[in-house]
Amino acid sequence: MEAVSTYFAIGIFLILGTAIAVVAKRFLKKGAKDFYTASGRFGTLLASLSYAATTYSAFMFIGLVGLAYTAGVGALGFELVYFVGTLFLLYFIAPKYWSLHNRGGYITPAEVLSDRYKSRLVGAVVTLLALVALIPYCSAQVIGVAVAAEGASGGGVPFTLAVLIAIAVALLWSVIAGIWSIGWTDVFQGIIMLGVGLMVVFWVFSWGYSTAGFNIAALGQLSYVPNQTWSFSYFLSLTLPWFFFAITNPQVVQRLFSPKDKKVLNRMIIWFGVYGLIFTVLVTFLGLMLRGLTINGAFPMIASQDLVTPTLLGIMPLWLSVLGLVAVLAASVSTIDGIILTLSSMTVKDILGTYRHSIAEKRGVLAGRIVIAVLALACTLFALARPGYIVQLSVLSSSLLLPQVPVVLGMFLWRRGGKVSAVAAIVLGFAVAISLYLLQIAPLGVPANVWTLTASCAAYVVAALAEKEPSGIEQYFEDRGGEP
Amino acid sequence: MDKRVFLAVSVIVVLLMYLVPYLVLSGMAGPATFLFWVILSALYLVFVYISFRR
Repeated sequence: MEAVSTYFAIGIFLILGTAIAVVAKRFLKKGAKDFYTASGRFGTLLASLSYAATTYSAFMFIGLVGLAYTAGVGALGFELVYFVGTLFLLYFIAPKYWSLHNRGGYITPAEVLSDRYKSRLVGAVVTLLALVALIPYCSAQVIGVAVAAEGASGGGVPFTLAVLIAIAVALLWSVIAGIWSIGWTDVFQGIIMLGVGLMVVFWVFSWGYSTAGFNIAALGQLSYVPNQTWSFSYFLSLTLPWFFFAITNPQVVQRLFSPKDKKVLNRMIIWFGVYGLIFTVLVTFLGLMLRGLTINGAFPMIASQDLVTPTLLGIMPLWLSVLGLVAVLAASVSTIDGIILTLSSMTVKDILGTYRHSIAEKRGVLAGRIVIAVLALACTLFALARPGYIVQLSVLSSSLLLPQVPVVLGMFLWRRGGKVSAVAAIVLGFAVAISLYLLQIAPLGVPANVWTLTASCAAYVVAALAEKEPSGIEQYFEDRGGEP
Repeated sequence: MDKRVFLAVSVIVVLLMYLVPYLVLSGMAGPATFLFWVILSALYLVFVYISFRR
């Protein structure tokens, strides 16, 4: 693909998306609550596609295609364990979060925790954890786009420029109207992602398999589970943080505040499920088909998993290649802007609001926009360092967020547990996660993520048993009909 | 639907997602594992849908 075509495609995407974002601004009402959560006014289409587009990112188009290509069928199980875990958790947790937002007017997931644990320190600690964990994840999205653009254009579009374009688009669409511009551009991007994904899969199938068909068994070891990559330990290690994604990633938790009623919330979960299942199968199937074509000699052998999709983009007909690149850009931007908006709301409400309450109240939206710009800069710098593979970066982020699991589940399931329990779980879990990651060890052969989850749960339970119940907890539960 | 029933079914589905490929289908070439994961996930989605309707 030529650089001119790439710039043209990105230009069209940028103009259309910005037009949608500007039109969406008319839905925006004054105040931080509407800017960040739409004040619970999203209908089914907006809620569903926004949740799906925020969740499914460059990780899918670049990372999962590459993982299926290099490691085989186990990649599908990895992503579908996430899928099942998300539906399972959303069934129980989503209505509770929605009700809490509806009654309490919370803007951020951290505020909910602060209120339940009767300490703003809990919200501040959760926010710091999210900032540390999600900047690598955001950067993985940017790297995905940049690698795709660079690979597809044969180096015509430099990596650095592609990083700057992706961040600029996400930044622009975030600040125009907050969740409203993000939500409507997510609808636009969600349709592009699924539509183009279908087209690419059909093209690859008709290009390589129209006569003989595709047989997974031809992939040899890659059709087996377990195989050289997918030992049970590795599978568990990768899936564990992903399983809890829906409650540990604040950008998707905050989306649970947006539906206008519980019917819309339920429909959002189902439509997200339909979208997610189709998208996951398509993307994994694409990676497996490409590996089959490599075995047949029709597609080059790719050693780096992040380069499988960019190589495909360079081979496809120009029109499809351009659309493919736009789909990767859409997947990335729809995730980056959602994360940046959520992190901005948490920084303003849960850190600035704690220590500079008057600024957060009076200039909340302005402060939020400034924080969005600072976060975008941080993501840019991190992405330019090109720290690692997209799959590994994404899983690292989820691993660092894993210590929130006992804090969130404890909030809903147990009346014991106060600020010491919550902070201890997060601090100890984070220390274990980062130590094991840096040392690259798995004590006793048990995966690092299992240690992280065990340590944070143990810290939570031990501290909760030793700690006095937070004052006013009975009243807190009573006000909510016996439920948190 | 009773939440305990939903919880029990969900736990079984999650266990099956892990155990069937690594125990029952282990060492089996071809699309069996792929199809198992896809079909079980689709059935679970239908189950969630039905649970919301009741």
